[in-house]
Amino acid sequence: MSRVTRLRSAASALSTSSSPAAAAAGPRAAPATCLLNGQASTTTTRPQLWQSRLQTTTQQQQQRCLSTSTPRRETALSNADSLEADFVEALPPRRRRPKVKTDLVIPKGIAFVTRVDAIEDPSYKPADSGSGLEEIGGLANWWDKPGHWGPSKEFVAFGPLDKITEPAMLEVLTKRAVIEALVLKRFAAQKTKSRLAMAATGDKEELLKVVGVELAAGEDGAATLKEEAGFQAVWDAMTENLPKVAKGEPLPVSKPAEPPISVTEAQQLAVSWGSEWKQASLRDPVVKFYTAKRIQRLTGHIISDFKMLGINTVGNLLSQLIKPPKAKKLVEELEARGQLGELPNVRVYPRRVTPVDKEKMVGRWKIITRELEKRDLPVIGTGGYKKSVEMRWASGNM
Amino acid sequence: MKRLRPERWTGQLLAARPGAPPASAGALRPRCVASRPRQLCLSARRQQQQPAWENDNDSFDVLQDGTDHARYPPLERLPASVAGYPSPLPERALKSAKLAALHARLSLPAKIPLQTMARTLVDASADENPQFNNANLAFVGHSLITYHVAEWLMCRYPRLPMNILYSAVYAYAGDEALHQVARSWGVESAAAPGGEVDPGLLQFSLDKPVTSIIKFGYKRVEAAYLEKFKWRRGISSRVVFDDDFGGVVDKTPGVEHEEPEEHEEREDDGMDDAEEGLSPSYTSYGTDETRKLAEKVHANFARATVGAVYAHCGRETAKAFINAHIMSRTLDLSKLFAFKQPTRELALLCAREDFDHPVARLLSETGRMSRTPVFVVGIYSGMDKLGEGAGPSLDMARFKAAMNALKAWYLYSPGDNVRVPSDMLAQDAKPWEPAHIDMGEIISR
Repeated sequence: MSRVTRLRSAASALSTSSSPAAAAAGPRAAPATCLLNGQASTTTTRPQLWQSRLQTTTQQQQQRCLSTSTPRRETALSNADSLEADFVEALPPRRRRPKVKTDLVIPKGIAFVTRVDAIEDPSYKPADSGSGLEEIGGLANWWDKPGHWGPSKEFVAFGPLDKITEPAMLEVLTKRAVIEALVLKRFAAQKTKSRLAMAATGDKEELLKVVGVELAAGEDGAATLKEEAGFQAVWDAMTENLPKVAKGEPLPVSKPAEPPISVTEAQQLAVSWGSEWKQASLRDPVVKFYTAKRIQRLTGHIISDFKMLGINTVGNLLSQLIKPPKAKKLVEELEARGQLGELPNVRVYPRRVTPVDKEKMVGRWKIITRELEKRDLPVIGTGGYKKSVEMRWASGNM
Repeated sequence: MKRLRPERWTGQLLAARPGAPPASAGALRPRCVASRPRQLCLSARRQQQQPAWENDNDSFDVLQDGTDHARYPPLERLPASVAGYPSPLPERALKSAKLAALHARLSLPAKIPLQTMARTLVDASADENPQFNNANLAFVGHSLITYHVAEWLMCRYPRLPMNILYSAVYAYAGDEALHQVARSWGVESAAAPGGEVDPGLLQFSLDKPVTSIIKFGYKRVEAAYLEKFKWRRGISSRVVFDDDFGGVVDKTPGVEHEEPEEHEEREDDGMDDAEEGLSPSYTSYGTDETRKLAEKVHANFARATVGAVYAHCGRETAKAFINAHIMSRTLDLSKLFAFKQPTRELALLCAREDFDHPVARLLSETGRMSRTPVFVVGIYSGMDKLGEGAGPSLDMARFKAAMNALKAWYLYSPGDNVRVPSDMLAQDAKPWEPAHIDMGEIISR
């Protein structure tokens, strides 16, 4: 397969490919305004350049132009032949790129191919034009291509991108978030640990330990743990498997994990708790904030500030998170209830009965279709036909 | 009336009843037309509760009707082959709400399957195949209706002249009356017949009307001259030759309007000539001819329903159905009479019955010299007043009185609850008491 290798630059391509390009450099000696002169010089210089007799001719030529500026000396022309011959050698030495530590895939350097005259394969036939040849390489859309971005540049969300919507699972994780928020408030003095604990997801064992502690409303109605020992127990469970971070180092970023329990387990847990714990108040802004952050980490739900204002109890919070199931269509509802289906004189349709359906039921639709097709008119829709133009003219709307 | 052979009426139809053996085993095997794509005459597919294509998802080609099936999936999954059928498949009857509603509205017994009801709604002009249209059922129904109406009229009004009896039977069982009955049942008609149409709609075609034989009667030899030379048809010959209403049987079975060439020309002409070619009686409800055809189709549906009731539920139910829907209608028989010479007819009657010669006497009068005088005249035969009439002149009052006297004679009735011969067919019928039989008409027509 014949291929055109992408060349380094347009200028180099011109200078290497053919002599007329070099001749085009000839009139550069004259300013662009003297077109006639430039054309004349082109015709004269082309054969001279080809026969490497350019220098003397150029010197003898009288350059006339309208510009008052003197023509620039064209030094390159003096050794045009040697430039063409030793193009590759004349390139500036390759500079070393500084090594950058990155996991991005950076484009490689310039690739060189064998010159046409150096190819020894007798079956090789150079292409006459670029049309129809496959294009390889190139930097277009480099960063849009897959694999060119390293894993370090991927976006890591604080919470899971796919929100958890299962009501029972949301109940379990909310209870966990509230309990952990209460404990985090208690142990906020241990800054590094509490920050790490805020972003931890934990395993099943930890989850069950945390959730096993009983949450209840205190004397003032605010949410609290039923037993004082629970705070320490939960804190221990939370900090047990935390990664060790030296002072001054940034905290590690980790992806949010899937909930460690299954939906059925979550349902069993949620049923076993009853609904009393949902009455506990969340008026303490610190607890509420910690809870919201833990919920974002565990479930992916971001609670907006506006909604946060309205959340005063755990039940409120749950009602914000748990979306009621989508309302069923009337047909589905009737089917589920088993109503009307048994009646032979009632027909329930799954969708709207359109005028076309009504025509079909009485058998007129086939006639309408036939007549429309006979007149080359569209069966459905307007087929690009608009309202009468004359009506528009008559009404004055031009 | 005609000699009826009830045992031959519905034998082949009874074979279609689910689970019932053929009326005469083996003899009346349903004849299937081999070219017909759906051979349902053996009623094997008829009894399927679920159409075959409902469960067949793989090899199912949906009926393409030019609509967007992705956006509006068809409300009813129909195979593409229904486009070729002139009437809906019998299986679809089970899913039609209109049909079930009609069945319930008529309080029909559950024995009558919806498939048969669907068949009663297919006219011969929609589907020519007699195994799928209602012609046979209508034949049975028509015979039953005319039989019951005629026997009841004869027993109830034994002195009715024959032409009045014909008119009365027609008024109860004719096309116009049964059309009204069918309309009162709430039957809607389809715009055009076809396989995709709701089976609960009455299907017929006005473009290619087909005469189906639903009546007894002989074609007279001189039928062509009756109209041409205005030949007289005597009542006695009507009883022998003509149909149940005394009408001439002059229609050859088959195509009713033989104008195929004219139709084709009309199609070629296009839209412009269509309106010119219409009859002057054209309204938005069609022409006189199309309205008459539609009336006939509706009447045939009512007859076919009676036939279906008879086929599936038997004689007594059919009789009760006819009583409830057809004979319960009110008909003022006295409006049917038209006398040319009532006084002469009354005189003849009195002579025949050995009464005194009728004498008209002025009973009262008012405003003799005014613009609107009223005379009340009584007709007396000896000391008996036969009738009384009022009119604006003495002659008119006399005629009216004679007419009333004649009507009183002709409309004699032995009672409201007369027994009719078909009552004797019941299981525990009382012995028959002879009905009143009149000696005949006074003036033969």
